[in-house]
Amino acid sequence: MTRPRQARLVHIAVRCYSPKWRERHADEATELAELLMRDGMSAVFIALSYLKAATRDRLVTRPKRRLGPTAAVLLIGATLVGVPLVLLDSFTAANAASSNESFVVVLSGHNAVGHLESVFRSHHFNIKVEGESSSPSQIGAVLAVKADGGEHGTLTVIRRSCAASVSGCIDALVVPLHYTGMAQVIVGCGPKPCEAALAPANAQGNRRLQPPVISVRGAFEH
Amino acid sequence: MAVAGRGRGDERDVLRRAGDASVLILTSLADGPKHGYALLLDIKEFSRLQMGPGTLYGALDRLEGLGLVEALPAEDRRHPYRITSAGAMALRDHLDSLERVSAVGRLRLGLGGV
Repeated sequence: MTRPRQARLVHIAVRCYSPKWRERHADEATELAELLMRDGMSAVFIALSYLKAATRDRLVTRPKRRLGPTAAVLLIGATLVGVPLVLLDSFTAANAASSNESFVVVLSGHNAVGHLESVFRSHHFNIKVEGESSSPSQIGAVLAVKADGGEHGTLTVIRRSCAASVSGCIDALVVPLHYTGMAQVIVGCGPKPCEAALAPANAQGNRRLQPPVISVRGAFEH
Repeated sequence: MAVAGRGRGDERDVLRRAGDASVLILTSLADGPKHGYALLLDIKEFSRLQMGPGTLYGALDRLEGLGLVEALPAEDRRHPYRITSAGAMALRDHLDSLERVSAVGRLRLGLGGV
């Protein structure tokens, strides 16, 4: 993974903290991550450490704070080639109001369509993923999201400013755990047909995710 | 096994439930203020444990909330942290508690001590 992509991964993780935390620690946390990566620490280890702590920061350290709707959080660092798929480790929030579930997903650029399809299918979301030819810089990136509101909340897109798009690049999709609406996610593909980039199907017709897959449970406000 | 009550030492030991990261951080800060990077390096040096940066900030926030550490004015983007007098007292109580457990454990293992 290249340095800019490592930095992007850490940046995405730091953005999962509450605004209050970010206001105080984000700059320092980013600098600390840079120093640790310079010393040879894995960017994935650093990002996972921040993501786990961010989930705890939002759930555990504010027992009196009202939790927002339970959501599945899909963070798609689609340009982070080299990190196949990362779903954070699971843990139970002792003071969570209900069963909470959240996911943080980092996709590799070369198989983003297949990974997203598998993740959505495994959580029974009615979200269709389609590939669309794009420039090399946007391979694996989420180009657009079209969603209909469901009974249990709406699909929310989190953007960051970037040169590739005036409206900003999509960093994350926040999907309520019991989202019932329909949605379509368009992902950038390379010069090969997008279908060719999908993971091979097994005997049951399910596409296999590439390891490692780590999953995290928790809740996010959005 | 039922626990009927706690001794005076345990009541004073506020770090009992604070977690290992908190103890490592206070131990590191015991010889002077440090910022995050210096803390991680020092902890790795004396404990051989690689603490994650997320764990570090989570523990620092908890310790600050308990009044056991305080943030000093930022140097560039870095906030050095300093152990407070309450933090030093809490660390001393916790180390005393660990020493008692350690002594009993060593004795029962036939390693001497107490």
